[in-house]
Amino acid sequence: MNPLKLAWKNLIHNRLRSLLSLVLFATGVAIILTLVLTGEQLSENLKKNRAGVDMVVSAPGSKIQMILSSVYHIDNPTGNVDLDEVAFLFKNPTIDAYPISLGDNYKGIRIVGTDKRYIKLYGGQISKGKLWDKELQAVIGSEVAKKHKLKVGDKITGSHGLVAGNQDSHDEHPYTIVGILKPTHSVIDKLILCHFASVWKVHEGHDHSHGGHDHNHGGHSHDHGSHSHSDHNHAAHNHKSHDHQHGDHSDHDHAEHDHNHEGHEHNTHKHDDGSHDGHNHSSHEEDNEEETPKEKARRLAKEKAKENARKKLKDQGLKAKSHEILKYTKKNKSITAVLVNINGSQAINFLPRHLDTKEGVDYAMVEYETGRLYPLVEPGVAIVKWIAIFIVIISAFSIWISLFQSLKERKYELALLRVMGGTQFQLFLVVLLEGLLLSLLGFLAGFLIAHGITHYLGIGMAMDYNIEMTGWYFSPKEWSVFFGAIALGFIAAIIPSVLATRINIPKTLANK
Amino acid sequence: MLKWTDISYAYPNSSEIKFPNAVIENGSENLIIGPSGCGKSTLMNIIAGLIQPDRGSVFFDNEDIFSLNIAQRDKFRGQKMGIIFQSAHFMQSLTLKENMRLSQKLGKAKKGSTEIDRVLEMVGLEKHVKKKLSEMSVGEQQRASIARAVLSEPSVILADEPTSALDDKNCLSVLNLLRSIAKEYESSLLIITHDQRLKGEVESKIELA
Repeated sequence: MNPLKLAWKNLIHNRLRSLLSLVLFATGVAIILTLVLTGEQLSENLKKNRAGVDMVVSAPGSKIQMILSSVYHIDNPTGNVDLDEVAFLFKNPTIDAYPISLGDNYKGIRIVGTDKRYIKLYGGQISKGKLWDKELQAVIGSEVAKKHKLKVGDKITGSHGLVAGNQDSHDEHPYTIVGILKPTHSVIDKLILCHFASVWKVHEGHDHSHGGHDHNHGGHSHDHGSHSHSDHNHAAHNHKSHDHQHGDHSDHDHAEHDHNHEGHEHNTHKHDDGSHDGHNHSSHEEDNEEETPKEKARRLAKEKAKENARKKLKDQGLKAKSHEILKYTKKNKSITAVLVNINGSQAINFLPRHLDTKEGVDYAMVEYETGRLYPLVEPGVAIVKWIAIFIVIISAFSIWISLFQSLKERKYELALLRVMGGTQFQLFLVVLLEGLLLSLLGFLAGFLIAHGITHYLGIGMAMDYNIEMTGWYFSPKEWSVFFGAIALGFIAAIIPSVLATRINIPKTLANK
Repeated sequence: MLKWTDISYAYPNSSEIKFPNAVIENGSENLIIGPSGCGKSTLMNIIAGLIQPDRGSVFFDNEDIFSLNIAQRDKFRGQKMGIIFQSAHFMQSLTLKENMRLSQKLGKAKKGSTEIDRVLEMVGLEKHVKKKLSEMSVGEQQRASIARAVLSEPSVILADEPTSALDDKNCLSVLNLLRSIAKEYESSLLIITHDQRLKGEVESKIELA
């Protein structure tokens, strides 16, 4: 006798009752596994797409929005920041800073102006072609190439905004695709990347913030920084002989970066700098007659702190970095954001405080802000998880009741099995296997449903949230759910199985 | 050879029943006959090893079946005895042929699937192999249980009231079927009944009072 075959035949014979237990069990398992599969992939995606970025520096606004727009490329940016205000980030030798310039899309795919290190940040490698070496050359992510059947040499034109459908396109400045990246399974697979200066080039002549031209980026406007301010042309200034009007440059930090004031001397020129708080020109006297003693004390303390910081860097043998983007300072350029990798350095202590003093600049600490989201999401996930566990337990009860009912109906058959030579253990096995088969089938059905749902969700997530999720993902936690499901089936079947061995054969058969 | 000696059994709150000693020779035909309530079925259950007697022994080829543990006794019964009940019991989830195959497997019969076809032909059920037992008549089920009893190639066939519910014609027909099939398998036949019609048909009788 094959107890497994007998158990299976019996399940089929009572198909409606078996189906009810199966559906209940599968539903519970499917919910639990879907939570596991989506949760793990989501968390892995967020980690991969974060790529170790600790801080996002961008225009003031929602901190979550800053992170979502510049790291995960989901939301709209909060605006642009003046490159000069954030230039010091690119010089600091203890951190890595990556420029991000957004503003345009190609058929809904973001065109991101950045530098080549951004690709390395995600472990990106060229699959075909090469990286850009000049403006208006683009490197595209693997999925972009696949989805839009783009190849090296193709020309694409960006449209204003970050969503498809805007008719306002930059036909006069097409991008040439020079490279296609290998799949990284991260956000760059779904981006079009180019030199940050390309974004400025494309927007040359477009005065988006000063000409009354609002960009529709989902409800807010920003400028691309390519407009010219005649009073900001530092390269052409002769600082020796004229008064320097800094306007709203409120915080030039000379302690942490080198000023590239081409050919002019600070020791001889005079600043008219009423709002120029923190401007540490150590070798010249500030002309600041309106400064109160309290303000002066604060300024001097700040200058001293910065001097110390500079000294410290010097002591550590660190030199200010020379980044390509620094060539564009003092040219009134702006970028959307700077992604900062603090690398566990001491910069974590002074960067936030320093950024707090900047006008038109805000920052978001990625881990802290995303960590704040979890308490909002976790209760919902926990509730769903407990509902699923409740369903699974109910289904285990259903299996238990089903086996009891079956036992009652089949006691003659079980007695007969004993008469024909079946042992008590074989009877125990037949009933136990029915419970185990139900839980196994319930798990398998739940497993397939969960992977199907995850795959389906993944299609939507990839399109809407740049998140890669697939039904082909398998989690080690699924084993725990599997063993849990089998254990429940076992627990549900154990009592009916024991009762099956205790059937009084003569009495049972005599009562037929 | 099957024999039992000094068997007695008492149901709770009932008086003790003592059964006469008997020896069933290989290939013989025997009748245990007596009125209702005399303990016929109890004796059959004791012989089959399903009830442990309060006293006495049952020997099967000189082996005391109650010296075996429960699992050994179950297997022993499956291999040495074919039991036919008054009401036919079958696995409802299996077809006729699957039920026959189950009996063969539990009885560790040496013959295979072709033997099932042969026996079903003998009892006239060859066209019903794929049917579930619930789709068959009571008479067909009775014949099926006779077929099943011999498929384990037993030494003894125990038939409990096989003819009680039948008319004279069918009574004789079932008796002849039992005889022929027992002869075919060289099994001893032990009919336990209160049916007085069989009294004149079987020579060796054990009468219970």
